Amino acid sequence: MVKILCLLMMGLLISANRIEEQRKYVIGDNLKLSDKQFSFGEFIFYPHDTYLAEDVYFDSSDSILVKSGLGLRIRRVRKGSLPPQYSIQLKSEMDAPGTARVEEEDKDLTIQFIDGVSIISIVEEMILKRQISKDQEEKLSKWIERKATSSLAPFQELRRRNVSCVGLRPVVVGYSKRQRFHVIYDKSIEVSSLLLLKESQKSLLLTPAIIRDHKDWVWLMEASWDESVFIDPHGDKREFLIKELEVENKYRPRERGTKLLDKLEQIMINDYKMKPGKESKFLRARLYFRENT
Amino acid sequence: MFFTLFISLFLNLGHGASIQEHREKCETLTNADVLSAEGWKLDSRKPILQFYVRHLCELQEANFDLGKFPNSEIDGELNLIYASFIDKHRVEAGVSLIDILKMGFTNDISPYLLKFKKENKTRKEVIDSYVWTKQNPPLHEAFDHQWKNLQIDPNIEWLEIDKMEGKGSVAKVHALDIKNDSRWLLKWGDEIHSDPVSSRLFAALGYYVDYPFFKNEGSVKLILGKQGKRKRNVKQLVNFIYNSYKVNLSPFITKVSKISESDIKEEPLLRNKLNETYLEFTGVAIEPRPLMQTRLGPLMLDDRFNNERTELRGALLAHIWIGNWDTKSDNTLLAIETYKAGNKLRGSFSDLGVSLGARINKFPRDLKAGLVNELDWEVAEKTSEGVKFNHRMNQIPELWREASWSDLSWMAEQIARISPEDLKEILSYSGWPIEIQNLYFAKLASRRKNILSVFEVADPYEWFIDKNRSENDVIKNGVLIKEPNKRLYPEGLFDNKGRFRGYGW
Repeated sequence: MVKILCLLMMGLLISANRIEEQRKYVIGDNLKLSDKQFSFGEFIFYPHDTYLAEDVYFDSSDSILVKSGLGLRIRRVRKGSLPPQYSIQLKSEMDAPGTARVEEEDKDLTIQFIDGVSIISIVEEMILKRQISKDQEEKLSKWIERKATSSLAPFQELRRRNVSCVGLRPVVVGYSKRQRFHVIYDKSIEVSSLLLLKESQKSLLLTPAIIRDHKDWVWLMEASWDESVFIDPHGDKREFLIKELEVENKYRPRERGTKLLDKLEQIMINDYKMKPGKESKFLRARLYFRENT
Repeated sequence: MFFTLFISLFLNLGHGASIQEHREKCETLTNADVLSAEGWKLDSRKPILQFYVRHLCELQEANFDLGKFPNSEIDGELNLIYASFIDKHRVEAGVSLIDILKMGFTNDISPYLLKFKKENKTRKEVIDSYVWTKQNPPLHEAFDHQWKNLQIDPNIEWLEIDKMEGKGSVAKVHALDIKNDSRWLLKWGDEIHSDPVSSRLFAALGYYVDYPFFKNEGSVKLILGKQGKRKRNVKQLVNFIYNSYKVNLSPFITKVSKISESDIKEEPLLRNKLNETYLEFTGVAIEPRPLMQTRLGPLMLDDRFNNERTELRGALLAHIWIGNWDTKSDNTLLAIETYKAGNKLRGSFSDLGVSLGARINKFPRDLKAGLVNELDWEVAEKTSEGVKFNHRMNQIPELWREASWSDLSWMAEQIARISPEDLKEILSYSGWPIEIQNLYFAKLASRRKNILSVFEVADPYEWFIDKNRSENDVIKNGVLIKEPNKRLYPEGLFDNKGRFRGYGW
């Protein structure tokens, strides 16, 4: 218990830099976001967390980040009545559906200022007003350039990839409702093609408490069902809607977990008409607003 | 042009580190692409270290933007972390021949170095810091407050070997508590009694320490586990300990058994370990590696962040009181502790076990600690100029050589706060037979009285010190005259033959 608490605490405090084995699927209009438990075949989706994420994405006028296969965003997350959390994140695009993405993050934005103005305050106002002023845009661009040489993890990764931070400015803003699910298999179900599935070798200390408490449950994946609206904060009144499901492998050994992802994918494609996707929400939104300008 | 150069040089000197130097340090501490620094090939950086350093770096960048660079507190802290991180690589490279010679030389000249002049300097008030906190009575509980704060659970029964690596000087293995996977060092030998006592004394004086606990016969069961895919056996463990530490583990082993159905019935977490081999021992010390603590490297006593601190200069007298010989910088620790409210930098004294009667033999090279007969009744001598100490140690950092009368008398005041009850209670955690605990009580009380007298500190407690005590048939006239129990204490509490160690002579 102590160790789990510590790990959770550290998870909250430290900046993450990890490789995810993640797949994403575009959801059609036939399916509605649910906060209730449901199943795709033998895969049970157990809802455990809901939050709102607002993202300000950056790029240059010549789309240097899109061309580099990267997305740089400042994210505000709100969960119930808790104070909002801010982070700056850099994520790579998938090379192909299901391939790993690099993610570098820093969660220490409260100490960031430019010309005496808090970065968070600019982002807050922009999210609220759904648009950005010239002055705010210049400040955010200047801050990004100022941080280009910093030790913040996303900027170290940009330097690693030789991507310039000059001219990066807010280009799209996303408003997402995210429902998170533990994807589990229940061993007490007597008729199942997963009957021979062994206990996961994932450390119990890294396994959610609710799953540890149900001894018949095997933790297979984590899933996020997102419904997002993207806007261009420069006065464009159009909205771009995205519905997608992201699934991440949590079963160990990892290779066996990959096969389980394949199995779930077949069910989602064949029975629920979902489409595997590889483009990030940012990329799709950026292309939408650029192509329709 | 020369004028501009002069001005910029002057500004740089005035500001201490330049922003370029500051950024280079930030990069070295956080960016895995920086592969080497100061001649060392760098290890991976721990996530908590990266997070903590990035925060400091960004605060300093904010100062730069405001024209307030450098903030000296942040600069000092960052430099300390950098120095500690780099020095960790030196420690991990092992003790060199030059280090051994230096430590041997320091041992020989210690009495010449440990002389201090009396002076009437006013002392700044010592306030709580990252290395020292004033304790409230009862002082013997200070150690327990520390480990409880780090959510350590020392009530362990079943450990499983995690890894065996022959680092350091104390015979040990790394093990995991099967009930929560918490990480522990399991130690055998002469330090398993002295280390818990010395650490508790240091904690009572206000210092942060490691958390060694003595565990008596049979209370800890060690599952041998697997090395790769093959099960370890007893012979492998005994050979490993002998080859790495020149210690024969056999007499410490009191039971070799296999996990049975009834063991599993009593402890269900053993269910996947039926028939695996486990051992019990005469006595062991266990020391946690708390998850809430990210270890960086040595505390770097001579770093400018530390070297003016009375609480660190005065620590010299604490080491002298407990008779610690192995004072090398490797036995200090700089760490980041993670709490719900955030991260904290913490400096502590670790591995205090070569104390309470350490015997050093040059030929053949041999060292043993926890020998009550080797601990003198007095340690400080008043001289016409001030004080000299009859004590030897293998490293005396600059800040201790420069310690003032005021620094040392501050520590004498801290030692004075320890009561007879505190000392008795602390010794009860040693695992020593009661006769030896009583003799240590008398000797430590006598050394305390001697120190208080030299520094003219009033004693708030009444002590009864019997230098000629005799007890049962093992203590006669204040001397241990035979082994109290060779089976329970195979390392020998009377026999002063220790084992070869490469730390000084």
